[in-house]
Amino acid sequence: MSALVWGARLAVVLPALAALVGGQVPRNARGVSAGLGVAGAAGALLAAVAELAATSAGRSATGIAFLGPVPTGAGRVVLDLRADQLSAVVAVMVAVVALCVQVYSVSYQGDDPRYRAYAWTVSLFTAAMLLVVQSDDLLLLLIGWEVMGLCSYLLVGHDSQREAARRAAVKAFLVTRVGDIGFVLGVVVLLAAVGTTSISTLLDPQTLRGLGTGTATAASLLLIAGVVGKSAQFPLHTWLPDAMEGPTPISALIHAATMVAAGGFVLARLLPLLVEAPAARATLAALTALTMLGSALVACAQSDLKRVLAWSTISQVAYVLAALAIAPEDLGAAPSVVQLLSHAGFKALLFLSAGALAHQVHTTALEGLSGAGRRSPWVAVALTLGLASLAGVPPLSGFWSKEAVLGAAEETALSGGPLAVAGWVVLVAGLLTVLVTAVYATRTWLLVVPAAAATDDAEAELVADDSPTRGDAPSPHEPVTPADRHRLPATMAVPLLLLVVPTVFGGLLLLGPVVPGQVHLSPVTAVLAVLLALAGATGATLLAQRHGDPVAVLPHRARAALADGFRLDVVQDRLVVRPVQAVARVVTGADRDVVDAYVRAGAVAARGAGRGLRRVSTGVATGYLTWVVVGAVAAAVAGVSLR
Amino acid sequence: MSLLLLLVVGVPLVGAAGLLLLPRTTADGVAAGAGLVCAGVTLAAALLTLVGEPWRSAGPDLEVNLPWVPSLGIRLHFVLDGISVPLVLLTAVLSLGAVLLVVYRPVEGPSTRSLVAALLAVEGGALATFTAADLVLFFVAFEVVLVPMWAIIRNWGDPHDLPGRRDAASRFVLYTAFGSVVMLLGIVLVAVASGTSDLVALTSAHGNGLDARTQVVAAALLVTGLAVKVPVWPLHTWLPAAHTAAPTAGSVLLAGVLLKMGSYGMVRIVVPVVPAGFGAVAPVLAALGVVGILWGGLVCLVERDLKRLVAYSSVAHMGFVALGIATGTPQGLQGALFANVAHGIITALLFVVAGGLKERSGGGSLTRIGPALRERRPRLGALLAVGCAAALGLPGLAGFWGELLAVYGAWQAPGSALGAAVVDVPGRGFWRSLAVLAVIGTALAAAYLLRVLYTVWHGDARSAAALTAGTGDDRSTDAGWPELALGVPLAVLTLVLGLVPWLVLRITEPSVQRLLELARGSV
Repeated sequence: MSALVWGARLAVVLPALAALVGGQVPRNARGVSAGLGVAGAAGALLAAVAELAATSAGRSATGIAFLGPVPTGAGRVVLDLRADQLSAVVAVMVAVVALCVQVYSVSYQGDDPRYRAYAWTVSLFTAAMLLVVQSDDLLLLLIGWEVMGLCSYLLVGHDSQREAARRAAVKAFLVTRVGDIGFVLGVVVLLAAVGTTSISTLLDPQTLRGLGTGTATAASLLLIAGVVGKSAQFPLHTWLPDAMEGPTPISALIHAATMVAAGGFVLARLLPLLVEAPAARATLAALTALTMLGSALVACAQSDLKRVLAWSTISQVAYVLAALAIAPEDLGAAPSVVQLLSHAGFKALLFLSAGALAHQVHTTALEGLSGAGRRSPWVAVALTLGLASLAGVPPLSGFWSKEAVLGAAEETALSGGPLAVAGWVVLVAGLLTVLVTAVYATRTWLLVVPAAAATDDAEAELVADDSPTRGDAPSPHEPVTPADRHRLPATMAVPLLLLVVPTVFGGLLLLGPVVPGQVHLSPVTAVLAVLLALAGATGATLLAQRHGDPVAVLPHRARAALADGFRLDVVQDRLVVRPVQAVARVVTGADRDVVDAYVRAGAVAARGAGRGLRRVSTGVATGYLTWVVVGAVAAAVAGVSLR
Repeated sequence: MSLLLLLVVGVPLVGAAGLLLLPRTTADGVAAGAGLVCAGVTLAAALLTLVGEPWRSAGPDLEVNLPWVPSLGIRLHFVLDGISVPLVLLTAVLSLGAVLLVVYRPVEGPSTRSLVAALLAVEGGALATFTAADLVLFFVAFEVVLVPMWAIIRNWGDPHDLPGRRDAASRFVLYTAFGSVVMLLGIVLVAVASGTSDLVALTSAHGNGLDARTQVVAAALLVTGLAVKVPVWPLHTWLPAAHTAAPTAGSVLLAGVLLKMGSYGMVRIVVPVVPAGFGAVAPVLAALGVVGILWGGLVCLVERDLKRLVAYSSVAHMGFVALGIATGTPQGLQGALFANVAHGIITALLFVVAGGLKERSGGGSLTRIGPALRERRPRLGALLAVGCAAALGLPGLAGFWGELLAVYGAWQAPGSALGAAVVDVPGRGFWRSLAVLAVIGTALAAAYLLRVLYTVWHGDARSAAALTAGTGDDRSTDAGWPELALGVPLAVLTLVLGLVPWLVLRITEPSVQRLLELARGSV
């Protein structure tokens, strides 16, 4: 019991402490900052592993006292934690990625003058994400949920000298906050209907039966709005590609592996509620189907490696959520959780290897990275594995997890139940997305790994042997010393190596007792998906041979539209940002010229009345006497006429 | 008879009077020392009242009850209960901070002696307001605050804008005096109609003996008068002017203490004394509160002056308080009382930073302050960031809980609890629309506060140095210890109250429940 209880508590508290203390150490004590960051994440990992060990033995706990009750005067709100298989397995994943990122950042952010702030913010983020994972109360979960958003804001804007980073930070926070309007209202709806925000009470079958479809649907749709924002799904996805302005390890942690996946986690946690609301699930299925295919298409036309990965994250997280939208009852959240975990592994690997490449050439533009893979063969291997897993190449983790989702979609589609149509939509979109994913994964690989840098093509050919001591020609962008070229700092190499393990062997998750529930694999969709992936990869390779860049086959305008993400940023600007600004200007004008005008008019009237009365107060007795007579006559007339 | 409570109310008032009796030429050091001692003793006494856990008992443990105007049956009657405790503590803390600030970061103006005396008078008036258990006494205490605050704005305000601060001071005093007159009419109406002005008696009568029309008229008068102080839209235009002109210490007390006197009065007087009447005017109050949330948020999106921006954000935040009270639900009142404290802490913190930046930059506009505070003045920058994060209602910081509970109250407001006996009240749909609009207001809050951080906290320190060359902008003019001594505890409080809100909610809950049970009993 105590491993369970203390595992859950310490997983949150240790990184939070690391953040609290990390904010107080001297600014230039880099070693201390780094040590605290790593220690916080490592402590969280130990706690989460202890929790996982306990839950794997079949135990779980709810109502673990944490921040105490909130006397609302009405509904019961107690800020408790819980520990079960779902929370334990996700907590381990979060802690692993956080630890990798903290260690990796020691060298990657090696010359960052604001490293202290960087390290403690990452620790705070870790604590917040683990709070979301461990919460047994919707409001406690909301605390973690929003603190994650704050950390995301701080870290995207870490390098705030750059205008683009500043803007991206604000956008990331605001767009998700708009979604959270729904999330907060959803919590309020549930609190009002159930009388508590306790997740374990809410998920009690009796409570759910008493809820009624109307309330369940309203609450689910509102919560989904928040999830759509946080998990960067259409139409609130626009912030994520811009968030790539943040440091690359942050993109790996927050904008790939954990925070954007948190939406999936929350809905997985609340799946029994979602089951009561078929209309909400159908909506979610439609949104995610649209998102997964659309963003995969957009990913094909990006010219920056990190933006390719960002759009791919949007697309892959859509699988996580789609699995929840259509999960058949017997499978529960399992397919979704498998996809969440495997995506976290291979996407973190992809970002960190992208960072390792970019660290040398100081750019993440695909053009600049051209041939970078040759200069760092080991990183290239990591990148290749990540892309292959993304494309669903068996037997890597991405293959299994995608099959789990597609298998679930097939089961629902064929079941003939109320969600059959949604099942078909997700299945078809999912299969098409497999094809497109293979295209952009192959394109990215072709542009980064085998291609030689344009200017040193010939030289690279000459020195293209595998000797670890000799290398290719220095990059045109940056003079690279031999030491840089082949020796990745250990702090960057070890995390890469660590993340290769789940990427390659993640499929084993399906066998173990680690994931709650089960997954079904369907031979038909598996074969179909592999064939589609193969077709996509082949097509991209053929096009690349003919055009250099596979996407060059598209007409210019289509390409530009794709590169801009179907120009939804412009739509958002016209539909929301500008109208709000216009209203704000009108309101400000009205505040001065209408509301305050009455106040000023009051002053003017008082002054005018004062002047008028002063004229009457002449000090001449006869004048006053006249008024007395007039008054007396008036009173007499009034008295007579009113009698 | 509680000596402790007598100390809480008496020490600052006596201190203020004593300081004013000293000759004008009194050394600043003496005045400063006396002010610090008075504010310190008051805070210590206020903290000591917690020992008895006055919020637990149903009866008034901490009470002062002396004859005052026997011929009219008016008594000097002070009571400290769960509704008062958080505000009394907030007032004592902020007043000590304000005195500290003017002593160690002197402002231009007449003698320190008079400034400290004015601050103590404001504190004493506020503390008397928050504990008064007699309508007439409440009114007098309410008015005591007015003149010293007017003097603070007029005499120690923005040294660069003499006409502006005179205008702001007169506007403040005239506007709030207008509100007081309206409130006084309500008080007289209630006192005459029910034959007593004692709040304890009136609360237990919960409107019995007052006919429906009297209740509605009295409630309308009282709410209007108090709404000026809160301020509720559209009675808010005195606030931005007053804040912009006031010195930092004045702004801290204005935002942290004075505004709360209005919302406190609604909870303490209007809800229990004329419950049915309040139920009838509540929908209007709620709607105006929500208009304030959106209106204030929108104005903040384009406002250029940091202090004015914080002032308009106060209009938005106090809109949540008005909404919470208007719901007449326990969670709504809990939310309003919590938001009172949270807003006091957060806004005081923001004004410490905004005032400090204005003094250093020679102007309060966002462009004048310049970008990259994060690098240029890391301490003020950090306080600003915490204040903005808390003000945008980030869960985990103090601003969140009050707003959430107010929205929860609106969502569940049955609309029949307090006023249905008197007039037709709007139904669920009305209240739920208000709840949705209020939550949309929180997204607006995020937008305008991030705009502040985008403009002055983030940014390129080198270009900032070029922009503000010659004004001595560098780390040596970062926050000194007096500002930190006030700012850091406020920042810590926002975090603590954000994580363990029961520290306040547990204190207010029994009193709120009791008050509403009585009020509902009348329907």
